[in-house]
Amino acid sequence: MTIIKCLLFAKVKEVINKGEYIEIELPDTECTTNNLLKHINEQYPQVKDVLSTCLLAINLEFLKRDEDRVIQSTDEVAIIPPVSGG
Amino acid sequence: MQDSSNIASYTQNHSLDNKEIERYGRQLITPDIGVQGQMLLKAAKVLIVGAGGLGCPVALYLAAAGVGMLGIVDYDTVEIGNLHRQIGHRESSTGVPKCESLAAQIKELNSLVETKTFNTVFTSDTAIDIIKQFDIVVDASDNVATRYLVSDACVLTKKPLVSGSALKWEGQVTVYNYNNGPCYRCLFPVPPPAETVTRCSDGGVLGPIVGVIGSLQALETIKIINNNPQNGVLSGRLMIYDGLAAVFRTVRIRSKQASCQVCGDNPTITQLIDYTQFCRSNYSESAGKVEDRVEKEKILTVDQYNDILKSSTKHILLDVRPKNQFEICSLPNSFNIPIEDIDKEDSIEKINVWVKDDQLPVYLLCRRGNKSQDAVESICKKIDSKFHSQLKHIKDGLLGWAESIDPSFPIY
Ligand SMILES: [Zn+2]
Repeated sequence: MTIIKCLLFAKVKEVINKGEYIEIELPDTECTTNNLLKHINEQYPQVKDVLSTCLLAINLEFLKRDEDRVIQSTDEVAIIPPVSGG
Repeated sequence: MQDSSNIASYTQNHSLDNKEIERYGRQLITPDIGVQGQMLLKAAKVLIVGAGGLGCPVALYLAAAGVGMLGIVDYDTVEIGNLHRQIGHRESSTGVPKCESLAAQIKELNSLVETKTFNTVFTSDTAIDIIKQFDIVVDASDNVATRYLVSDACVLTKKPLVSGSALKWEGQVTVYNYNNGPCYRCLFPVPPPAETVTRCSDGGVLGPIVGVIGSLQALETIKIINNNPQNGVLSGRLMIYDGLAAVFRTVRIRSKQASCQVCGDNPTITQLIDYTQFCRSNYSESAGKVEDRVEKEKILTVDQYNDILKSSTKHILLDVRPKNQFEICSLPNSFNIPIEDIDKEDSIEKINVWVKDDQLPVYLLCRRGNKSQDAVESICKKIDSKFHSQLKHIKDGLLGWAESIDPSFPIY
């Protein structure tokens, strides 16, 4: 198994309610961003609506929408929703 | 003593007068500003959309720096609850339109700056005409619909957009539509579902957070005006500030998206649309009246609840606001189970004791009568249907209580 650390921001952090980050375990053969999102949705079903509008960044670089990238335990994943307040 | 008209022989290549040189001295000698930068600032016209927590620091710093013309759009008036973060307003301005209040502060700070106020809702009908009068737009708004509107309008009028947003302890800043960079839609093509958006009035926000983000917006605006190719304008990157952890992160954004509906290769949006419909929310952060989503039998008005209190009918009053809000103020004899915990096992156990063993009605309460409806629904999913009729939510919540029953109940 591979553990992926996901930094959470704004609404995602609030809805998941586990602090600054979560760790998601992925089978070694399934270490991609799409699978990561699938696992997050399964473990935290309440985040589904928010997650669909989020940007995913790997090592401080945003992924294209619908891009599925291979990730490893050393990658820093950040889940960033739009913030609209002011 | 020489005549002051000799100034022209002392200062060449610029038209700054002695007063301006004195006022902007520290800024003039800053590397990469200089007299040319100051002249550019003086000639610049910047529109600030929103005169709230972000708009105040943006306007004050740009005015102080000597931006020649500042436009301010805001339809709202100053309230005392704004002042902990909206530092461009004063107690004495309570009730005054925010754009006028902020323009007055700008005048006091730097009388050389011209202001144009637009005391109106920024809409698809007004946006283009207003934006056209300026070179750069600053998005200091507080709601999703306005953000899409401002971004599309900037693409259509080819204006760079300095965008900032903040909530609770966090903020984001970036520059859109600059030097062929991405627009807001390139990043967020689909608006978030309205029910997932937290407003500052619900989630809270700190003054220094909007202060940091607004200051960064002012700085990026100055860099864009200064137009130095060496300037690392925050385009194609999103800066995220977590004030609680004291961390800044700058994430590289995808470049402009060829498929973007407004700035892409084959745009389908060639004029402004109805953004309230697109986002299913208003051009305003204020929530307004909450609509009924539960059946009539599950609704109790504040007047009906007041009658129940007067008749001393036994019942349970369950307040589902977050703990820190419950601590500010609550109705006597109410219990607190925050909405996040309402469907947890021990909460349901408690509720079952009330409805089953004690055979009491349970009235759900929150600030506005929104979450209390969600609470009724989530509890109904977890308890036996024969007890469902004992659950009701109190319409309009504590704000309704303060408005109709007891004006001495604290409003926050
Ligand atoms: Zn775009």
